[in-house]
Amino acid sequence: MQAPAEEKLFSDKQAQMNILAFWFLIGAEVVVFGCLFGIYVSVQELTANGPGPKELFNLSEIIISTIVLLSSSFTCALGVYTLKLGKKRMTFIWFLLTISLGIGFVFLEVIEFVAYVGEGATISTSAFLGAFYMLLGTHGAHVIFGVVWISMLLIQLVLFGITKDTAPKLFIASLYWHFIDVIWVFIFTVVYLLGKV
Amino acid sequence: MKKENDHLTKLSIMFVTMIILTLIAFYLVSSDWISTNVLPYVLLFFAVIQVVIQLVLFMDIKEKEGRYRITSVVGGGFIALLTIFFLALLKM
Repeated sequence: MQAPAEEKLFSDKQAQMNILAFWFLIGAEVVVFGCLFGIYVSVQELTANGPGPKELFNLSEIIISTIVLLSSSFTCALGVYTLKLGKKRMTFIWFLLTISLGIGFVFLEVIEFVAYVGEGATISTSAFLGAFYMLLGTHGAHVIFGVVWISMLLIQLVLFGITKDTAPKLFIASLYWHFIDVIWVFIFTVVYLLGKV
Repeated sequence: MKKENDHLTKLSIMFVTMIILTLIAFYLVSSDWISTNVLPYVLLFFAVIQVVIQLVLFMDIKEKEGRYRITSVVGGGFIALLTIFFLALLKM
């Protein structure tokens, strides 16, 4: 059977509009995270005798979760690549790998937060920690939402195959996933790396 | 088929580049190779490179009605930068 060509899968006017509308959502999300980053940067030094970024963060743990999330972004890109070629099985495997890495990332983050709280660094300890948990928590919630979303799309993929309906949906979810990764690159740089400088 | 393989190679190279940039950034922070005055800008520059890779290669920001996509992200980024700037003024 001839694999459906890329132009055919995404040629629907509706699909085009949906993808564009999702870019507008991403623009709005940039503002949301921009506000959270702004708050974090401005209250960073207000540690109220609690632990500051230098004492709290352990970079070697963070580098693992960074590589996990970067890899999930790569498997997601491979998923879109096989999706455009119309290979249902490989698409399923790549996206499954993506959400598995996403779950791994959330797992690492939960371990990290539990350790911080164990050291007495809770959300109400200082302005710095409040902003920190707000920023990281919002990002983590986005990852969890992405995992749930892609899982549901994978069920659709198994049931209906790669069609004009399911292909744009998976593509849009992949945009969301890459966006989560973009935010993480900034969190890694601004919160963790610059916190250590 | 050749064109498709090219795309796959490009994705892989860029992925490796991102991992290497992350590791370099990590190394620069652990060592005191670059003075702490300059280091934040170097790290932010690395972050921007990675984000451009994500947006252009993985997310196809330039495709077809490309200008609307870039406009929405750059517009959001502009408002975000203004917010960060004015919140940073509070520190002074």
